[in-house]
Amino acid sequence: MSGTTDATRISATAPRKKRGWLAAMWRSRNGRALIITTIILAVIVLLIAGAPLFTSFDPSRADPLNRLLPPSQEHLLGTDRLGRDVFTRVFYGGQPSLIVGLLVAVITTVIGGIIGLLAAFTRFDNAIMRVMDGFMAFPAIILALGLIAALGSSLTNVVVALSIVYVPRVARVMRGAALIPKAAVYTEAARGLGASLPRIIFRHALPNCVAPAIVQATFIVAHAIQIEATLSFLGVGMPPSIASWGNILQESRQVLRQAPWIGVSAGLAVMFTVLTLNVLGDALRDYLDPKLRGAGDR
Amino acid sequence: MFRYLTNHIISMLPTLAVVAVVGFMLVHLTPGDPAVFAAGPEASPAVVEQIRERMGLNRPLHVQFLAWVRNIIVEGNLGVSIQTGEPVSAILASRAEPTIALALASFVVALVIGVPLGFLGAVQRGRLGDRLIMAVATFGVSVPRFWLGLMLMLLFAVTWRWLPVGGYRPFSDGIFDALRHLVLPALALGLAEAALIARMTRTAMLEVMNEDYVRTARSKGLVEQRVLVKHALRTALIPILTVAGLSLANLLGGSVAIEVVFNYPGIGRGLMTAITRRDYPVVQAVVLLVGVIYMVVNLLIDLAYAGVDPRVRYN
Repeated sequence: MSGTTDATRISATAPRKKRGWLAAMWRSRNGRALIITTIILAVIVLLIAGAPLFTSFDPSRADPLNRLLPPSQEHLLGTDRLGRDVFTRVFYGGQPSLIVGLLVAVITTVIGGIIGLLAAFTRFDNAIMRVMDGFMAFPAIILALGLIAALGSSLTNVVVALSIVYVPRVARVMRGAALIPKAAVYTEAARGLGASLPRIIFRHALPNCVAPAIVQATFIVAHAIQIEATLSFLGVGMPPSIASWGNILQESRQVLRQAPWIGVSAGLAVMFTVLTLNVLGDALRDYLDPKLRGAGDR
Repeated sequence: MFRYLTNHIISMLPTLAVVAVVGFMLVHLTPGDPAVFAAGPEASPAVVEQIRERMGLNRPLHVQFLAWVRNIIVEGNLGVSIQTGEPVSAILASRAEPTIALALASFVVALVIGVPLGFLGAVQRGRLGDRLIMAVATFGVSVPRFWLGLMLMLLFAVTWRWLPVGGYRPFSDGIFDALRHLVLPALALGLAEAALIARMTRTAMLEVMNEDYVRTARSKGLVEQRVLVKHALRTALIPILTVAGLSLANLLGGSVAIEVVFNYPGIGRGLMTAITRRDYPVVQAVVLLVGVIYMVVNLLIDLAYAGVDPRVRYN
């Protein structure tokens, strides 16, 4: 008789289960961390994208009469050397950073993914990976600086340079992820049944790469934002006319003594955004595949 | 051992070739003509042509590349600075000492803070201490280093005036003064690396703590402290060694922004000066040098591995 009671219990709970994959996610610890971090990131993105909605100042309009004002009711974070409202600039400043981060993550995932799969499935594996190793022998900032020195500084070139820096890292992760299903028995079976190489790649290898790719892409957004800020701080990233976090920090350096609030607030903005992305990357990794723990740093 | 070493070096060659090509191509990616930059804005076409001839820019690309590589390997000649006319190797040599001092100091910061924190995290696994340490480590990875430098400077040098705002003093002029100048940049550069090493140490320790011989050590009645330090940490040190080595390579090459913040006369700030003045031979040499250092450090790590861990076979 226990069979029927079990059956009724299942039918009673079934509709509730159907209602919420979100609720199910919330019940696991990894899932809850993921939901909370996603919400925090969404708030950050909304604040940055919606900057015009809650500040009435123009981020680049100079006001020579109100230079270097300390934080006040009107200027929540004071003003900078040209009298521009720092609060407004810090929020607008996130826009180029987010754009660069997202573009680099998308570009590197696509190109790195293709290269990684090519390495895993063709006989050029060794050649491809040696070239990738060569690129990875440079610290990210040095390669980015060298490329920017050659290409010139602009938003496009920052994206190009950072993509070149991170493609090899993505390719390595994707190759590793694709090699696991490649060696699996079910792939061998598929090949035995006459499946073509593209079919094996798309049906068997690619699905296994999705989770690591998402985790890696999240970390790359974080890294790219940090490196972009560093490049702009060094004066070779975004053109100075763009109110980016790196540019604000670069300008804050000369007035660090008189107006510390500029550097403090812009730096906190970078740190908080990068921190959220890093925590999100960890949460995604723990949620999607606990076995990946420890991978994807750096 | 000798065969292991030669095999290793041979397997490095393709990567080294890629490093060289990347370093070489950086200049040739430039939209403008390097000869025009070298000659300056007011030079006549004849002068530009002369410089092009002298720099060998009118030869085919692969010939130029081979000549460049040959010059470096055979004569140790990295080229001549366009701006000052000095040999690039002399410029690098004069800036090497501050950068090496800073990298080593940051390395000490990273190890002294990172390894114990990671160790504690692993021992405390899942408890409050562990969570706190890992949270701090995630913070550490997320702080932009140059900003941490600015903030440290703002507090300790500008507001409280305990330490100098920047610059470098050689150790030969007095150890105390040299250290005072090193503290802030080394902290700014080393703390993020400490966070990475802490994470790595924790992971390595957790892996080792599940091994059979650790259980054996416990079951034969060893004191927990001895088990953790003598048996677990000792083995965990091997992967930590790898990360630490790469960290050192990163510190040698990644100090550009910190050197700029603290007005520190190292290779990184030299690179920035070269970039703003479009002094390509210098940029090229620094990029190549950093890449080669990274590869050499990698080789040394692998050799150390073979020395420390008997499980690593020599072929």
